[in-house]
Amino acid sequence: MTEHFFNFKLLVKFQRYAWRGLFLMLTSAMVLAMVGNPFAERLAWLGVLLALVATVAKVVILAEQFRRSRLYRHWLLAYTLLIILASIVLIRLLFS
Amino acid sequence: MIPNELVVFVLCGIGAGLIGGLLGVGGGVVLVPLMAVFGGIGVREAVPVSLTAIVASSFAASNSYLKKGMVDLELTVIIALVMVMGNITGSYLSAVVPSDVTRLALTAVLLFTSVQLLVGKGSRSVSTLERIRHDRYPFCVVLALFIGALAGLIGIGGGELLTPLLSLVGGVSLSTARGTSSMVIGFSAAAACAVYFLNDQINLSILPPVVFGMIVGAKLGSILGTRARPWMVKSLYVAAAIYLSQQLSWHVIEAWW
Repeated sequence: MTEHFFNFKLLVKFQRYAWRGLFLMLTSAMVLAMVGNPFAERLAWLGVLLALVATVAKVVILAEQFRRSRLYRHWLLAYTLLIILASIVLIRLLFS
Repeated sequence: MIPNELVVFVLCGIGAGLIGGLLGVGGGVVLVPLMAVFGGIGVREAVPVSLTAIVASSFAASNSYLKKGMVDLELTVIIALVMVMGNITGSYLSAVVPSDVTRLALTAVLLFTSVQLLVGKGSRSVSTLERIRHDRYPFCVVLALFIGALAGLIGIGGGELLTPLLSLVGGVSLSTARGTSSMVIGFSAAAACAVYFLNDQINLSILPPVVFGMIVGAKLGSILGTRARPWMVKSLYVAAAIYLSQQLSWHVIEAWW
């Protein structure tokens, strides 16, 4: 891999923000649930949404870093992964 | 939720996250039974919570490995793609292949990898690993497809098979195999998690304590994993493989007996 061009720090930073954000949201949801606040479930729902959106963003970041590194085959594969994951979700939703 | 229940779910999450982070596996095979036994919830309710927790903890676990350069990102994309395709094939094949046969096949693979890890060659030089990796790249892809299919047949993530097989066959060091696997499982779990999420099947009152515990456990596990000696990781993997084999095949063998 042409590591010179691949911005690992961006991916590390993104993942750090993602897990810390998730941790903060779900810990807050847990505390709110303990005190009986009805907003707890809404916050947990937003937490799941954040996890899914962050996963999509992670694939996009990976793909774009591959493009920057001129690893075009991997760039295409990363977007193919995203399309296949989205297709699985759609197929299961529509035909289950 | 009463505080006692909350503590139980947090502890379940910590236990599964620790094992998952340390071995580079999802932890679902540990978390689901733990929640069912100690949390008193059904497997159908536990699986969506477990998958969501795996997606969340994968961010924390793989980041520690990524920082130490223990994730092969090129391999991650290819393996994730092929494993997901294998998973789809496996889930369709599950209607045709008897589940007992699949369970025994998975047990055989788990026991084989355990024995190979214990008696196999020790650490190899970087140049040797590079050469093996280059030679076996296509084989690695086929292997990922097979692991994905097998995992899809049983309904597990597949990290338990991916880590040792990448290390034994793929010419990847055990530490890189763990890091790569912890990243891959995040992608495959996300698709299943999205389906449950859109169908409103995730229990949102259990989820926060489980994810809280799982992230704490995964972070601790991955920090320990980047420092742990290979023999410790191998021993832990063998213990986990024996446990999983027993869970998978005991009732099949008992029925035959």
